Amino acid sequence: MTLKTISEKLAVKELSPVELVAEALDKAEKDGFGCYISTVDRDRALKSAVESEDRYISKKPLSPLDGIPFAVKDNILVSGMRMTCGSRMLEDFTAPYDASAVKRLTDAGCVVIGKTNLDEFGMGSSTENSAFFPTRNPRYPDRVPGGSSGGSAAAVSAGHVPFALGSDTGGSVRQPAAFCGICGLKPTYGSVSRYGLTGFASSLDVIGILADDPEGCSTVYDIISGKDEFDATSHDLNDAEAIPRTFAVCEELYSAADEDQRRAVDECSVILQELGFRRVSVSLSSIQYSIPAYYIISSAEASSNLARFDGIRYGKRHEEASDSTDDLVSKSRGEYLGIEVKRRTLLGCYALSAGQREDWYQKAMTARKMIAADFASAFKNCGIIIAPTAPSVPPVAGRTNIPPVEIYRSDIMTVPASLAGIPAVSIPFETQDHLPTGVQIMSSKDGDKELLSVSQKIYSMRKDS
Amino acid sequence: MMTDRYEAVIGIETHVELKTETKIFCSCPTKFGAEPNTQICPICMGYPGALPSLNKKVVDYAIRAGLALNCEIARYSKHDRKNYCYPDLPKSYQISQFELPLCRNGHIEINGRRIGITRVHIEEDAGKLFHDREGKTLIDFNRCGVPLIEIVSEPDIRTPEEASEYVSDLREIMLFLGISDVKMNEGSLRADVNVSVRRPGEKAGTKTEIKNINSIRFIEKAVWFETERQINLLESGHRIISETRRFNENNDTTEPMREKETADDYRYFPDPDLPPIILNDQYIDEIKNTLPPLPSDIRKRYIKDFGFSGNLAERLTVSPDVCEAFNAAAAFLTEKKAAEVLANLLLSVYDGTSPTDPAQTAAAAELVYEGTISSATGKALICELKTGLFDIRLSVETRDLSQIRGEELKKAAVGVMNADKEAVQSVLGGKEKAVKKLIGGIMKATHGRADAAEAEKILKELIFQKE
Repeated sequence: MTLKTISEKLAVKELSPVELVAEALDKAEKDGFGCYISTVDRDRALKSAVESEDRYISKKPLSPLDGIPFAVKDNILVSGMRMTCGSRMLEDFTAPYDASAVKRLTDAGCVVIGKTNLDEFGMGSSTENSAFFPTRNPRYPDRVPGGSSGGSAAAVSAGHVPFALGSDTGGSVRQPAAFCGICGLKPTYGSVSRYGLTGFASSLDVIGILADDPEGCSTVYDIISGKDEFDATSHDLNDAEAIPRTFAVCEELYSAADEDQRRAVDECSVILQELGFRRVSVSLSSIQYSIPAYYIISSAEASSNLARFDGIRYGKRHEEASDSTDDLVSKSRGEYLGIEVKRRTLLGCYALSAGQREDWYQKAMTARKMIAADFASAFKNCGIIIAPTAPSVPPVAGRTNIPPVEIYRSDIMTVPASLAGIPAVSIPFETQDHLPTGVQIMSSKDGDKELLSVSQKIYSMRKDS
Repeated sequence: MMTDRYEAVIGIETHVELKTETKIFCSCPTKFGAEPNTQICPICMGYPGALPSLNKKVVDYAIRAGLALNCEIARYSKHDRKNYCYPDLPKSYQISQFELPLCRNGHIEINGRRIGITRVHIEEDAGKLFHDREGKTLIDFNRCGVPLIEIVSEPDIRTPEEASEYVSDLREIMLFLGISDVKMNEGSLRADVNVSVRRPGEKAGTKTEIKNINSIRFIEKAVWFETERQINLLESGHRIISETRRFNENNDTTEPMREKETADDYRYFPDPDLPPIILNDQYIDEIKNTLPPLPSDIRKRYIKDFGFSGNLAERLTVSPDVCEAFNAAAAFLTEKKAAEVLANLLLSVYDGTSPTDPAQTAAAAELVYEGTISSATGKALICELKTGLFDIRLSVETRDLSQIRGEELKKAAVGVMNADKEAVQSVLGGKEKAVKKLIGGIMKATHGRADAAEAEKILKELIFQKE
C-alpha cells in the first residue's frame, strides 16, 4: 500500500493507526533483514497510536499522516532513544532531544518505530560499514541494499513502514532507494532542517525521504520542509517558478554508466516526451571534477564535525588510564571509530592542513562552484535533467578488499546534485535481468514539489509499474 | 638601559566577554557564578546534530566596540572554524572569525600616541578547567559559548606603562559602551601580551607571549620584567626562545608555560553552519547614532563645561553610572559652580550604586554649596536618597539639619574639649591625631552638621587661645 492509500484509508477509518503501528512493531521485532539497530518501546508507540485513533474518531487528525508508523536513520536524533550513528563510539548514547524533522513528523501524529542501520557516520555506500551488522536487501537478497541509508531503504522496501527518513550527503538516500527498488528524495539543500542530524559534511548533508513512490515522498516533504530557527542554513521554499517543459539527459553521467542503467534512462526519456517534455541538450563539463571535489570537501568537513567525538562529554571513553587529554582522546577514537571513518577524517585533516589547504580544499571548493554554475546555466535551458542513480546494479553483498577509491567512484552519479545543492528524486526501474536500477530526476533549487509531481507521473508510466 | 639601546615592541590581544543575556550561538544564559554545568544545552555542549544560531546582539555589541575604536566595520564578514583539541572545547573547534573579521584598521590614542587596532572579531568562549586535590580535572561548561570579542592591537606599544594604560583605556571604553563588565578578576576581560625587543631601526626580535596576567597593574610589571629579561639574554649572547610564558604574581616575574616551537595548525575553514554576516550602511549608522559618549569625550566636556580639573574628571568617569547620575543631577543645578560639589558628593557615596533622583541630588549639592548644610550632612542625605525618595530641602528644614557655625559651633567645640582633656593636651603637644579625634567628636556631637574644616579652625583657635 502506498502512503497515499494508507492516508486515505485512515481518513475514512478503513484502517486503524493501532493496527498499522502494531503491525510495524511486529515486523520490526522480527526484522529479518537487519533494518533496525533499535526499536521503540512498544507500549509508548501503541499509546501514540491509540491517541491517533481517538483523533480520527473525533475527526480531528493532526495531519494526513496522523498515526502512520515510520523509521528513522540512526544518525538522526529521536529524544530518549538510543542513537549510534552505526558506530561503537556511540553504542551507549541516548539522544537528549528531537531532530526538528522528527519533531515535525511526530507533531503531525506520525509514530517512530525504530532507528535504522547505516554505514558508520554516513560514510559508505553499502551499509557494510556499520560497526554492528550489515543490512540485507529485501527484494534482491544477494545484493547490498546500498548506503549509507541502507536500513531505512530496506525497511520501506520490505514493507515494514510506508516511509523512512534518511540522510543524503553524496547519494545516501537516492542510491539505496534505487538498490532496494523504492523511491528516494534528496531535497534542495537547506529546505529541510539539519538540526538533529549528526553532522557529516555540513554543506552537503540533507535529510531525505524514502517511500514507495514520489507522491509518498511529497506528502512527508510537506511536513518536514521549511525554515527552522535552529538551523541557520535552512530556508522556506521560495515560490518556485514552474518547471519548464524541457528536459535533458546528462551525457557526462549517462556515458559513465552500464548498459542497463542507460536503458532505464532511455525509458525515462521516452516517458518524459510522452508527458509533453521537449528534449534539449546541456553541457555539464565540470562534472568530471565531482568525485575528487566531493571527497575532499566532505572529508574536510567531516574531520571537523567528527572531532567532537572524543569520549569526554558523551560517547565511549577508553578504559585505560591516560596521562594526558591527547592520549585519552586518541585512544578513545582509535578504539571506537571504524576504519573508513578514520580514513576520511585523516584525509580531511590533510586537505585542510597548512601548506595543503590551497592545493586541496580551496581547489575542491573552486571545482564545486564550477559544477554548481554548470547546473545553474543548464537549468536556464531546461527544466529537468535526468541521469542514472548508480553506474551499475548493486554489487553482490559481502565483497571484501575492494579499494576504497573504487567504491568512491561509484558515487559519481549522485554527488553532482549534492555539490550543486539541487533537489533530486530517484525512481526505481528494473533491468532485463530483474535487478534494480534507478533514474535520477533533477531540477533547479527549490523546485522540489513540482519535481516530485513530475516524478510521480514518470513512476506511474513505467513499463512495469 | 632599556630606552637607550633597545626599544620594546609590544602588542596586546584582549578578550572581552560581552554581557548579552544569552550565549552567542544558543539561548543559554550567560550569568557569572552559576552552579557548574547548569547553563548548558546540546548546542554549546557540542552534542551530535546541534547547530549554532548567531545571537544578533553580539554583532551589535561588537559593532559598538569597533566604532568606538575607530575601526572600519566590514559589510561582509564570516565565521571560521578554529580546529584544535582541548577538554574545555566541546566541538573540538571554536567558532571564530579568521579571514574576514567584523572590524578592522582602527586605533586609539594613549597620551597623544596612536596605537593601531588591527581587528576586532567575534567568537565563542570555552569552558573552564579545575584541578582538584586528587589530580583529577573537572570541567565546567557554563562559560562555553559566552560571546567574546577579541581586540588585537598593532605592535605599536613601547613601554610597560603604555601597555597598562592601553588595557585600562580599552577597559574603560568597553565599560562605557555598556557591552561588558570588563572585570579581570572574573575573566570578563583578559589580556595576553606579546613582547619583543630590538635595537631601534632594526627589524623585530623574537617575541614571547605572556598569559595569565590577572590585573592591569600586573601588566606593567610583566612587561617590565619581560623586556629586561630579553635584553639581558641578548646582551649576554643568548637568543630569545619563542614561547608562551606565565606571569608569576608572587615575585613579579614571567616563567615559561609551554614551548611554541611550531605554530598550531588550526586548519581554519569557513563554518558551513553559519551564513556570512552582511551589514548595510543604514544598520551601522543606527548603531553609530545610539553610541553612548566615550569616557575621553565625557572628560573633555566636564573640563570645558564645568571647569573641572583633569583629576576630578578622571575620578568622575570611574564608571558610567556615576557619570549618568552626575549628568542627570547637573541638569537641575541652578548654580553651575555647585557642579564640583555635586561631583564630590556623588563620588563620596558611590559604592556601586548612585542616588536615583536627579532633582533631589542637585538640591542637596546646592545646599552644601550655599553652606546651608555641611558636606557631611549632604553626603548623609544623598545616602538616604538611595533608599527612598524625599524632599531634601524640606527635610533639612523640618529636621533642622542646617550647618552649625559660629557661636553654636564654638559651644560644641568647648563641650568636646571639656569631655576629653587628655586629647587637648595631646594637641598642645603637637599630636595631629588628637586633633582629628576631637574633630570627630565635634562631628558626632553636631550629628555631622558642622563643617569639618571650620570645626578644625575653631578648635585650634580655642586650644591655642587658651594658652
